[in-house]
Amino acid sequence: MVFRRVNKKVWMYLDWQIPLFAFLLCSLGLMILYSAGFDPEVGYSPPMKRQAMSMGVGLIAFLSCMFISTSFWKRVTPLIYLAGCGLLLFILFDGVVAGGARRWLDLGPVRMQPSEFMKLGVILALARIFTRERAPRDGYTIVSLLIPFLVLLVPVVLIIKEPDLGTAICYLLIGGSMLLLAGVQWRTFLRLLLVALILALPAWKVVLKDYQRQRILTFLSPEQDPLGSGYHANQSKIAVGSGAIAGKGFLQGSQTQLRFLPEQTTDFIFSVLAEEWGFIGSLFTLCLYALLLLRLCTLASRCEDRFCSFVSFGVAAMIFWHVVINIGMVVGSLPVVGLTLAILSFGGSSLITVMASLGLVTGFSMKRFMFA
Amino acid sequence: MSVRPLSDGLPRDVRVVGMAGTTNSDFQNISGRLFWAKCIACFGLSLLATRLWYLQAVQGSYYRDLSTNNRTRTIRTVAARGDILDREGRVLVRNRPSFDVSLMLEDTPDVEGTIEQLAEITHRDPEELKRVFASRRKGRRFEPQVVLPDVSQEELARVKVNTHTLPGVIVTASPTRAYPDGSLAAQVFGYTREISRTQLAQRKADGYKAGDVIGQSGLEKAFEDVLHGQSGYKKIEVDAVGRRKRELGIVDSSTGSHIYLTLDLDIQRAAQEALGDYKGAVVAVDPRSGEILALASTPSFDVNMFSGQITSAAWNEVAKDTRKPLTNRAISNIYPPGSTIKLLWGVAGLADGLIRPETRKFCPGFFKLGGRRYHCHKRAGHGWVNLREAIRVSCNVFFYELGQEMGISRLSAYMEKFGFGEKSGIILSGEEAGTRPSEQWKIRRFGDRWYPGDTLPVAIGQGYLVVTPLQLAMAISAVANGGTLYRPQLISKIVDSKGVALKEFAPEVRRTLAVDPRSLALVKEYSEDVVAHERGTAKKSQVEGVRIGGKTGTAQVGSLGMEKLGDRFKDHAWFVSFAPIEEPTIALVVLVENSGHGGTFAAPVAKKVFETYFRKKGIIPYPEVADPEEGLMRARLANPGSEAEERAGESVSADEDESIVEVEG
Repeated sequence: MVFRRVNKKVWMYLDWQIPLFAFLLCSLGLMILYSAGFDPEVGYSPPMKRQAMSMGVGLIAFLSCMFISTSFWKRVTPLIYLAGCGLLLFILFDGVVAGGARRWLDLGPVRMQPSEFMKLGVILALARIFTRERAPRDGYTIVSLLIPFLVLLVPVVLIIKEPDLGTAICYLLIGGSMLLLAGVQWRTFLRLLLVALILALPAWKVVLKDYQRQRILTFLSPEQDPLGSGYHANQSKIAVGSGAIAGKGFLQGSQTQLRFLPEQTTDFIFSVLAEEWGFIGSLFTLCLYALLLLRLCTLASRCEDRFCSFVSFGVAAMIFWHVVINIGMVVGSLPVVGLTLAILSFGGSSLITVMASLGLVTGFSMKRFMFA
Repeated sequence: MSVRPLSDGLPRDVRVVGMAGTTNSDFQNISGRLFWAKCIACFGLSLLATRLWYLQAVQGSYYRDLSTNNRTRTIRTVAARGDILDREGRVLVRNRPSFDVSLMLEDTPDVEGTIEQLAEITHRDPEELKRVFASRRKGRRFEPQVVLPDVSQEELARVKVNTHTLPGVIVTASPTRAYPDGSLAAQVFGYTREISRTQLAQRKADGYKAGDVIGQSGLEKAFEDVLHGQSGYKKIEVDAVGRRKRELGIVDSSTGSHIYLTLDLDIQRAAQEALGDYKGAVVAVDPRSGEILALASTPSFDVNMFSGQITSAAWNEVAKDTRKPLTNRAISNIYPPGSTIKLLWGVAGLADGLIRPETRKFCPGFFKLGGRRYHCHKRAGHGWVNLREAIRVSCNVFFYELGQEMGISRLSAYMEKFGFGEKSGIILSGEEAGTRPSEQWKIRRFGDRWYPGDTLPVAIGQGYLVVTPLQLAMAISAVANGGTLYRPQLISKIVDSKGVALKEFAPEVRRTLAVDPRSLALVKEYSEDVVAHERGTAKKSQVEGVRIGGKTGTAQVGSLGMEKLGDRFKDHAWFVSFAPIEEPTIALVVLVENSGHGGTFAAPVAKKVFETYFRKKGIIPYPEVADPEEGLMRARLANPGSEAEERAGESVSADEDESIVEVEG
């Protein structure tokens, strides 16, 4: 059965918090985008208009995913995963190049970024694998992790090839989070950490010189630092800091309106919010994300189906890492890697992916009270 | 849905990451881990919140300032220098707009490439531009850095057309000095140039910045503080690419004050034109006040060349010219006054009672002192001459005897009265003091005592005595005005940009000669003969309808016969004069270097200046047709080769003073 069976009771128990937070974040996103993309010559904000259309699509995705039954999701997971890998492979040969990276699939009037949609695909695939019947009874060991690793690494390698370092890191973090939820032996965990350190440290710290590291970062995300390293981080910190407590006011942010941040509608959207709405606005937004994340975790713990728990948690992990890395980058605590801020950043693929994921989780909340 | 407790029968030593509490249920397990996940999420977001608090609340005002700096540029607007005007308010020096092509460094991603592009657009040498740019580069990133100063209209148009391909390139207009009559009184006005490093270090406190223009010589330097004005500031808002969005505020620059000179444009021009191609100087003074009407020095140079961006080649050409166009000969060069001094010694002799109008001395053609013969320029001798005749024929022997009687100390005292050996106090820098020879002076200067033979050359304006044309003009003015030595006055008033007079200059008396006015009157009367007498040495300065008094002089450069070695050994021609003799309103000193006799070369120059002056005053009419004689004189001045012919036709008396000192035996 493709769709869930819906009756009156289901509507009663439908989780209202996730749609509410999603709605609030969407509204906030439109408002910030209005300011970030405001063009005094045409009198409105073109990116906001496009984002609103994406939100329409996102709403459809949300509702569709909500009503698709869990069993159907489980069945099509391998298909979704394989199709995603195929698309990622395909764009390496026939993708649209922008900013030095080949990330987009040209669909005529719109462009699609498969690496965004694939996040959901990987979350579903990992959820399936971690809830297999043959799952190890005493936590995962390195050998038993081989399959999950392969499932994760195929898209990661394809995405690094694009290249898109930020997204690849995001995949690893999502996968790692889900693995921790599934449970690994301490020994395995330590060994994994050790292997990662052994591989990463010499490669990063000793072998490479400072400027080479910078070059690699620039190479992996070439569009991020066109004016020399540090420009983005600096301008972003100035934008955030100058917002002070109360902010400069809607459409009043000089850093924003005078375009000191080239990526202000996408990766640096939070700096616009922080500049114009200050600490109050920033804190409000963080609280919205926190409430959303907590709710996702709560739903994950309430699911009867382990698959649903893992998917819900995976979605939470995805949003969490996006928020932490993106805002960490905007406030200058983390290096500049291209990663969108869930829902707020301009970009259809990212928005629709998050909306679909949230719809999926909302659907799970219906299922819990359904008759078996 | 089946529930499969995974951790059932788990060995005690195997623990699982994220496992919470003691429950064995897989569901409980996951919810335990989800609890930790919630904690981690909250912790991560609080870290971000803490960072935001630090940036926005703690450092908010710091970043607010940074963002203000980010979007604003302070652009200095250089004040226009004040004008320089003549005594009638005619503009001598003013400003014109100069367009500079500059770079905003932070908006120019590729500085070298942009400069190369600019060089290509304007057809200039890219290496030269880069070098100039590097040398002029200022510290401030937000201020425009000049690449091409003072571009032509055509170059400006080409740059403007290409602006879209030249990020960070802007064009600024700034006032630049313009001298409508390029070489007129060039040494008086002086020139302005970009401030040097040393000057900048000295004047930083006065608000000067690198790239500012500062007066380097002449009035531009002397009145720098008056002319300079106060620079203003403009605050503009720019976007990230440096495009101007709006003006935030403006502090207007205030134009410098204007200087009204005592110079008269017409007289100055007449003097400079009359000197023509000769090296020389003309000083015209109003003897009643010490106001300078003309201060000319030739050869001159085009000051406009300096106000823009002068190439080093052009600079070298002017600076190293052996004819020294940058030198103001009227104040910075010293010359022996030659026979012109005889008027002053005449005054001294009469005033001290050593001679009387009727006192006669015999000139045999030489004066004998200690076995040496000091010749008169007329070898045959002038016979018995009184002061009047001695001045007219410029008899050397008469003044040798007078000088001998007076002695060097009394002569020196008179030199002091007439202002020699000290700066006359003109407001320009570079004035020379000349000498005031005396016994002490010689000991100080040469470590040797004064010999009686040293006095005789001084008595005829040679030897140790050297003066500037200006000093001579002031001394002659004192004779003409009845005994008052004024400080030369070049500035009549300073008026601010709104027209309010800030300072008016009054005549300044240095000293009064304290001599019997009758002696002055007598010498004035005698000096008229020099010009008006049919055998006067300065007949060529005669102006019909005006009574002129004067005295020619010929300052020796080398010894006799050396003029054949080249022009630079030729004598300097002098003519000092004043008019009208009844009550002089103009005193005029003319010096023509390396030309020859004062009567032949200096007097005609004076005639032209007098004509201009008295035509302006309405005392003599303007010529209705071109004066043929004037044309002849101009031809002679322009072509010194015809001089011999001229001289051959002159009377004996016009063949005047050769102050020859010859050793006998």
